[in-house]
Amino acid sequence: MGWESPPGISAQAQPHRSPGSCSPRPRCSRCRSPPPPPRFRRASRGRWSVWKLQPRAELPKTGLGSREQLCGRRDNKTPQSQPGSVSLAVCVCVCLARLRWVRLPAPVGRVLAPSGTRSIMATVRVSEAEKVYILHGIRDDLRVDGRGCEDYRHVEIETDVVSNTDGSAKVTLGHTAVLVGIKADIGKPTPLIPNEGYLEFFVDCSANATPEFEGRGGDELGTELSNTLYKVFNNKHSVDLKSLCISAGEHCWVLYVDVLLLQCDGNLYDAISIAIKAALFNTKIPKVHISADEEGAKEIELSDDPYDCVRLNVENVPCIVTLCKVGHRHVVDATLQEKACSVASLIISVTNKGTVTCTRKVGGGSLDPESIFEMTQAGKRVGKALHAPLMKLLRQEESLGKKRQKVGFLG
Amino acid sequence: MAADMRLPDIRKPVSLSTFDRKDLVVPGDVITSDTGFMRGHGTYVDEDKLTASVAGEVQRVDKLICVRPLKTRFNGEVGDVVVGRITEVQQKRWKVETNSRLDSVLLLSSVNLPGGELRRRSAEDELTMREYLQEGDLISAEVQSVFADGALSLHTRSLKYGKLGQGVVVQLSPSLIKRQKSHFHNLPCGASIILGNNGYVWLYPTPENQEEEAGGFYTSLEPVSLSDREVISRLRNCLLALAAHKVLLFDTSVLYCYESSLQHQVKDILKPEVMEEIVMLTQQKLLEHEA
Repeated sequence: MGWESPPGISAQAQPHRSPGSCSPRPRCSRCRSPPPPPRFRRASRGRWSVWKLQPRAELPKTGLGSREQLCGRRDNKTPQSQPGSVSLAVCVCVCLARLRWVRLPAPVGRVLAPSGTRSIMATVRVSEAEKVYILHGIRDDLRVDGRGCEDYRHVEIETDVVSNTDGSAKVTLGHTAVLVGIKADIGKPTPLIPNEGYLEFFVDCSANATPEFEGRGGDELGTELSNTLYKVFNNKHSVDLKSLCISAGEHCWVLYVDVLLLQCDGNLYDAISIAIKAALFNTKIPKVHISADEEGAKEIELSDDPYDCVRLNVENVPCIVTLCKVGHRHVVDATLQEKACSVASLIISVTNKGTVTCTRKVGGGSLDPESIFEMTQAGKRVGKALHAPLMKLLRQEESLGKKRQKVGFLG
Repeated sequence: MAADMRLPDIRKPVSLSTFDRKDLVVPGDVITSDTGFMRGHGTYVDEDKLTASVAGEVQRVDKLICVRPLKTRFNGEVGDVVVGRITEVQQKRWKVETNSRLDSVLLLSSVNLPGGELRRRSAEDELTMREYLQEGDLISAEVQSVFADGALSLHTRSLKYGKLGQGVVVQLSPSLIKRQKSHFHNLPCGASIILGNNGYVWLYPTPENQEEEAGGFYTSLEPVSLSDREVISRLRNCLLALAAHKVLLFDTSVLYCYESSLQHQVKDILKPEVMEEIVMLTQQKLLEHEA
């Protein structure tokens, strides 16, 4: 019940101590395979913990999951006939060992990812009793702040906050604040795709957000966020890249999307994706006029009129939904306390038509394939429902025009 | 299920009638040009003029002038009730985070041993410290003394203090908590509250048998009922609403806020317009109560 270890694990997974040999690492007594050599553990990534587990028929009722779910086998007698089954056993043992490590008393809330990199999102400490409370609350669909499992916190969006960018937006989701600025620059298209422009993402985790980001502390998280954004936008439909082309093979518009984290209170991906969509909506790219010179060299002229610009069509820009697995249910828009109680999350980016452009699993725990399916369905539903109110708000803000009172950063 | 998205509102300017108080200063304000005064905390001398260095109210005791800041870290005094989180387990002591400048100290000799024995702490007690309080655990304690560097020494030598079980902690500013005779309240709405002087407020379901105060040795991990959970969530949102509008927190104000919020859903309380409405009703009720 709650956070006490399920009956299977504590009873059987004792470290094996034979006289004369002192094995420093616990062995999984189930499959009797030796612990993996350290180089394997450092090189492994989170992917194997997901698709190497066998699907379960029903979900267990208590705690992190029964040992069968974690170990992926029904009983000792399952024949090891598949190729690579030894590596499966090894992976499973590391998974089991890693999950047990997560429950050590040392800083709670800091989840160790199997690849050895730690996902450092501002961590809070939560006691065991608080975790039990949060877990039971989510199970009953009543979170600590009264929301249901699929409700978002209060969102405030404002565009055009930074005057020397071509488009900008500031989004506040609960206490998480994100600022996005987009600058359009003329550059050379990639040789592989000469008739399209491209987007470049850079995420800066400012030390204002949390003391952990001081110095180089926020670089890891920043690169992780940027890489996810590249994956999310890496398809033909999100942004019409052909409209960013000026002359094929020579000039194109490059949109530099810079994201700045101002405050960190959980759910960074969602806030960043909403801010990027709002900033892209706000982006005004100047109209260009290509004329040929006397020698035949091309000259690019930008029109002087600041209102003579091209707007991007952001209908198909996806929004990211983060689903955290807490206990047996998943929650959308988790706070830092709820994140400390979860071991794995699924990040899914959804367009307004319900198309999924990217999925990613973060966190050191494992996810059952059935729960991945459930979470994907929930993510699609929640993500699809985000776009309509967002576009309505952006259009409403645009229609206010000059009458809109700018709040900026001092509101 | 739909997210509530909106444009941000500009903060309304405060009406000038509340600003007639001359004793409120901001950093840089000249307090007095008279050189006969001694300068206390929060002040400095700039060209023979006593100037404030923090934003707060001026307090004068005979010849000593100091400025008490409105928003500050917790400066504990002997007898304050605090709610803190254990950050480290050291030899013979625990380090507790209490929103003050330094981590507070909870000595092994200042806690009650299980069984209530009064005996010398042995080496075995030292080794089993982690069984009682680990990193991340929440405790309620009282300030026993203040060290020379300003760190607080806590004690849990009464059965009403000790490790806290299931519940919700809300972190607010210490200046919002009113000093009262008792900081432990069983609210009539169905939950209990500990208003720590350090700004940490603990909400928990009222235990059924009140006489048996366990002192934190037994933590019940039974699931809390849905009605209790709703009361606690509502109280948490009310506390955040009151804190956002800088209303002093004590049991009566929290209770009035709870009653005013009953017409709204729990998750709606954190919307700005609903917060404003609820806090206005609470302030009206408080004024009537005082009159």
